Amino acid sequence: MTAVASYSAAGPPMQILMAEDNPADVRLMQLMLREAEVPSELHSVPDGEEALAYLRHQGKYGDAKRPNLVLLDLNMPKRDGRSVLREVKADPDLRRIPIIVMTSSGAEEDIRQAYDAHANSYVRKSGDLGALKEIVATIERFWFRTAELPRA
Amino acid sequence: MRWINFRDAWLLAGWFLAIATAALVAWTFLQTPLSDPLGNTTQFLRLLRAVFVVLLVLVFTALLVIGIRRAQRGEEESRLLLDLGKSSLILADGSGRIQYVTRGAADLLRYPKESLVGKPVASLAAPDSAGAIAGLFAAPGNGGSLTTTELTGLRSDGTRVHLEATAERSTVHGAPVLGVLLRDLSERDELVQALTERGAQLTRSNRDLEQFAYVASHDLQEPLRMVSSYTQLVAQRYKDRPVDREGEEFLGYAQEGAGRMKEMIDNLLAYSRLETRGRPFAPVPMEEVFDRAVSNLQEAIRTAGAQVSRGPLPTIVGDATQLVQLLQNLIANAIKFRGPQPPKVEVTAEAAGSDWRFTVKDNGIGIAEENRERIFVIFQRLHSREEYPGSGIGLSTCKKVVERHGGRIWVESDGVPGAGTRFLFTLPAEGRAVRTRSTDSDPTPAKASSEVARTLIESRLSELI
Repeated sequence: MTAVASYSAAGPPMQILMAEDNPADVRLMQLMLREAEVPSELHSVPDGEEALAYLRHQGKYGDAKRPNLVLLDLNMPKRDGRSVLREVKADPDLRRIPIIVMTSSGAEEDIRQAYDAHANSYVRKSGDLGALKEIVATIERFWFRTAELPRA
Repeated sequence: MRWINFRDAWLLAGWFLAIATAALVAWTFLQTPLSDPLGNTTQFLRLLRAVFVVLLVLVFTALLVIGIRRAQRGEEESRLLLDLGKSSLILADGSGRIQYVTRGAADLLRYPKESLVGKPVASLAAPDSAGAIAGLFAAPGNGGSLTTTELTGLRSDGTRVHLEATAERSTVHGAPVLGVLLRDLSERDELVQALTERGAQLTRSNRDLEQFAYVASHDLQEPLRMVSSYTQLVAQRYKDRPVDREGEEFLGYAQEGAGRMKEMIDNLLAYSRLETRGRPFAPVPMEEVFDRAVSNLQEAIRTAGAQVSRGPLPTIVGDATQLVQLLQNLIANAIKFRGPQPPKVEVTAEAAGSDWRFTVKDNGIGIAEENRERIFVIFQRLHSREEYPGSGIGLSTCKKVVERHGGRIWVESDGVPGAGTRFLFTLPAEGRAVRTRSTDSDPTPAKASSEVARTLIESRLSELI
């Protein structure tokens, strides 16, 4: 688990959990959050099993903070994002946490399946830095400033 | 016609008999007294009567011989023709015994032709086909429809052969007969099996292709995204340092390469999805397709000062989205590869048998003879990126769309630079989907190719039959 504190503005920083097996992607997200000046803490887990353990405070994630937002990759080892999504959305306590599926797949089935499993939105990763920065800024603007999220 | 043939012993005997009878009759008549109306018996009248009777007998015999010869000849001719035609025919009597077989039937069952006459028909079929044979004999009689059944024939050497028997019951001179036409199905069976195997192969290779498309979309894109993101990041960071001029140049090439590769992967994915994400076919007015293609190209048409026109276009059965893509790619191509004068593109259609033949004609740079096949191959480009940008996928997409609709596409050009190009493609007037699969309802890739296989088998079989 890596946690990076970014700018803390007025309130406590937003807790973001990123389930992603590619460390380069996590690092990129970290950089983009910093560039977009999102007051947040980014935590990352490398596979689906650890994502569930984190959300349920199991094992080494005993004192993990409940995330305000989850960025979920679809293709991960051990347990993939689809399965994590189904599991979380079937859990009466965890399902309130907004989950944004972030993947490189633009396949129609993946998109439909994700929404069928109650993903809160589906975003395609971009190889273009400018586009990625825009995505992060949009996520921040909507989820952290426009939308009201439950306290817990 | 030779009606006296002394080589036939029976004919000779017949003639002998006839002459003998005539002689006997003549002699008898000569002995019998005969009176003229006045009651005088004359030698002359008796002679005249005898000669008349003899002539009568001879003429009668001659007519009989001619008749028999004619019938015999006709029968021999038809047997010869039946044997020549290799038809496998069997004629059986009411008790099921063979009366006549053609050489074709004898060869099919590997019997000497003569040995089959008198044999029960049932002895030529495997025991498990007894029911089928009985069915033939129970078929409706005179004027009734033909009965067709499949059965296993038993050859003289004990081997089995898959047969189709078509039979009709009839009567000849009041006696019941059964005519049976046999057809060897083993060749068809082999073909069906070969095509089924080919179909299974197609299914496998289609699945492999789909798998490849998936790999291209997910697994290749991931590392590529890393390359392009981080080269951009490095470029951004070190942009303002003068010592790194060369480094900046290198990074530029790396970024450009990554960008091009991304475009190719995206295109490849779109290309492979033409097949798997195609919509079900429906009637599509090609004039609307033309309008949509032109409106999508509005910007390019305006920039190039192009003039795009059309003749009357028919309605065909197909996938509207893909047909727009087809026309759009061809028109865009015509505008892109333009000559010095403003581009002129004309789309026309004419009926060609059961197809519509479309022509997209331009006044552009033309295509040399040797490149006319190559241009349809994916990622093949004839020009450098600087001359004409593009990924080399447009025409292969066109080809795939046309083929998916059961047509074909080719190019004609007079070969003289500047003479223009004509792209021609056919689309079936009735809509003949080579492969159809709906977008969402069917996620299994295997089904499409088994449909292809079935279509293939059906069309090949209809040719064969």
